[in-house]
Amino acid sequence: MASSEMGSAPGPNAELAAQRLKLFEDAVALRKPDRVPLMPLALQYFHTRVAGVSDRDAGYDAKLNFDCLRDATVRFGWDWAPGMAVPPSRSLEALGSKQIRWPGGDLPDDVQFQWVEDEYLKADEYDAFLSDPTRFTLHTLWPRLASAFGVLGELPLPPVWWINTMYFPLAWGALLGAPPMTAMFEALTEMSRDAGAFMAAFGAFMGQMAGMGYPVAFVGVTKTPFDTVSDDYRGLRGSTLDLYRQPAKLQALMEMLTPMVIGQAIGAAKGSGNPRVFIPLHRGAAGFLSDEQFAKYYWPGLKAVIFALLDAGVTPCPFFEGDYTPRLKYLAELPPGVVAAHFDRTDRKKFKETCGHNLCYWGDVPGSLMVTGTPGEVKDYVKGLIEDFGDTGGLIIDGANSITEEAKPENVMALREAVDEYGA
Amino acid sequence: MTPTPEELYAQREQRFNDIVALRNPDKIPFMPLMMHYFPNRIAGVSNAAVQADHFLRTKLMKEATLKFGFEWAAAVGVPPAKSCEALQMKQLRWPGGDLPDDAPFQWVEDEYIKADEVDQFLADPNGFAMRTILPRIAGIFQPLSFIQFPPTYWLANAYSTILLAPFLSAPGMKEMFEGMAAFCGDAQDFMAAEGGYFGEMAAVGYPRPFVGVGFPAFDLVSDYFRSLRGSTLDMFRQPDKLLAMIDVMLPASINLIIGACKATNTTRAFIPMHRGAGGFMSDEQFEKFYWPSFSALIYACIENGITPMPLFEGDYTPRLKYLATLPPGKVAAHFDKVDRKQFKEMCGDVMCFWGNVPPSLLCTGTPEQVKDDVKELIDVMGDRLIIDSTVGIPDESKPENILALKEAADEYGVL
Repeated sequence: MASSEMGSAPGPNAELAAQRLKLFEDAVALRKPDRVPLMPLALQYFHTRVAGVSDRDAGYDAKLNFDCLRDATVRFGWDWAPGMAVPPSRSLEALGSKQIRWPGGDLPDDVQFQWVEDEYLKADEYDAFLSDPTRFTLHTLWPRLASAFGVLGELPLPPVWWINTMYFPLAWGALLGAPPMTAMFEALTEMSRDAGAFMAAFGAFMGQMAGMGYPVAFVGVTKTPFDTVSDDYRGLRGSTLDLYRQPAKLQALMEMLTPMVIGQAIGAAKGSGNPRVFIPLHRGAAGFLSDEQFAKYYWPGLKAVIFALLDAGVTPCPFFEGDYTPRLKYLAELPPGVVAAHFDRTDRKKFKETCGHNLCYWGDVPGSLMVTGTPGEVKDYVKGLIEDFGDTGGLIIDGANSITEEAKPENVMALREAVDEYGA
Repeated sequence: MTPTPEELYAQREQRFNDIVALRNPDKIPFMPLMMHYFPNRIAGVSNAAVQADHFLRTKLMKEATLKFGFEWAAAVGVPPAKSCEALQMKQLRWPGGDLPDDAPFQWVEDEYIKADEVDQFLADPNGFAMRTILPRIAGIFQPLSFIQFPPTYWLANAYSTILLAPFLSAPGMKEMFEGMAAFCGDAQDFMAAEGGYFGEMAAVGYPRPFVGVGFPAFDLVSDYFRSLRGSTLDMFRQPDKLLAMIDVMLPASINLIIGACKATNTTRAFIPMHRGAGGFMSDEQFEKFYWPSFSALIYACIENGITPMPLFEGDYTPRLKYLATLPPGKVAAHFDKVDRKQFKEMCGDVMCFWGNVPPSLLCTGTPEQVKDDVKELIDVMGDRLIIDSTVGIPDESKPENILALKEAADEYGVL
């Protein structure tokens, strides 16, 4: 598998890359690997902060960021290069993003970026969105997400296929002649330029990692239909009220978005050649929904995404953020040995009883320990994990929320020491 | 006593409206529907120059209006060169582009939707337009043809900035957005020039002929998507698909006009017509493919308080029996070639008669011949008449013949 992945040219280290990837594949398949692998899922600012790079620069300079990610991967002995999850700040700036705030924007240089959750789709706008999603997105959603798109909210935009005639390009003059339209396309030009810089840095990074014999965790990212509605459109408050006040509309929107979340994932996997897709899960954890609500609104969409990815030959990497202990009975239904399940804080004894037959266990060294504990404590924690799962395999070591920005470097080092010492 | 500009403006509006409504006007006016290059040619300015400079173009429009006694402000329709350049337009050729400076612009008709692509278009008109039609029409849209762009509503998350990076950085994308920014910049100049000109003309008593422009649904399909050849074959080979395309385009046909009129608070709309004339299709085909969506457009205008100004280009004599069924006094019908007497007989109580002075006469005749022709028109039509040539004022008209149109309207047009 490894040699077919993007950027992994056959070379002196191709063998090494294949060995590392096999550690992951064995763990997912519930086989005992040669050694318990240490594979951080996705990073925000740990790799840049240990290199003395500000959060601001991490967002504005993609090349610097990926160089730091490469160096951290080697320095801390990870078995692959993690995903990088910081949105490019120059693009956000060009767009005038209102949905994300970023260091160097209106946040201080050393604060991580922030997601601004809001009801971008209001409770009484479901019908408008469902009946004409493109129009609603252009006219209403985009202007709310980014100030560069504000002009789209003010203009009577026609469907694209009406603009079939270039006979008089200026039949569209009233539409296009608004000064903010020029500014919008200038912003898109800037975004396109920034995307070029990002892709160049990313491409170089992929090539370097392959050259050194490291797989890259994933390229594609997607979410469940419920989280997409709740995170991106309705907000936690909105989606929670919808569960009681207008559940049918919530369902209808999730149905509309299901092909999207699946299509995005498969498209990115096929486009990049990397067959792993990261699925951050947000609102399915204990405390956000009752079991009944989970069974009705969350689980079907999550299952649909996972099965669709599996059908397409893609390995889903769901990150079960929060406490999933009450949901283990659902997870037990997933097909065995094919889902790379990453956990935050789930009762792992119960996990082993309920899901030991079908899912690997990836995680879950607590962030608090990594930030405030000692290397000895970290190693003990990893030892405990290996004792729990070592007999059956299916274990991958990572921080509960992967490696967080404030983790002590010596504690991150201790993760590697622990797998070498206890995990062989 | 000399009338004030406000009074002149009101009189001219009233005159046009009276004639359309089949009421008796105070006189027969000379109101050219639109034109292309006449104003610049008589000023010795090249076609390329006005196509590249909106402000020069509107300055010459003003001069022509005042010099030739048009009774409203001249409207000129030529595609702007800077916009065409910014878009790398393939559907048009223009003077100053790859045409000589004094050639008129040219439309490049082609099957922008091919015969076997109609189903794809019908299934997803937005997607097909983005991926296939736009790249065929203009060079800057080329990247849209090969990037697998997700539906718009997938992109409602600022994190998409990462997910979109492969698309946004695809070859040609930056150039596409730059081209659109340049296009918008030219559109701003266009709006400033047109707004300034029509505002200035209104202040001295000249109404603006129209803002809204829209096309019959059949012409949208034939002119822009399938071409004359394609749509003609479709009438025989895949008539249901042709009708389905017409149905898809009908809201565009109607709403382009209504949207423009509402946005600008104006009540007249120009409807150029291309494929409904005698010779392009049989009467049976006209009834099946052209008339239903055309009449729907006319009725939609009327229901929205808009005076439709169809330009019946080509010979409409065989279609007069259909026109006769339109509601009386609502349509400002402009004619190219039509049998005057038959029109009077069949449609004289339904619609006014506008235009029809032959370009051949204006370009090669004498002022006397022009005046005689206008006199003949007045003899046939009485006061339900507006003077103009067939398709606006021809580019190569002799200036003295255009002055003769005005003289004839003044001399014979007070009944």
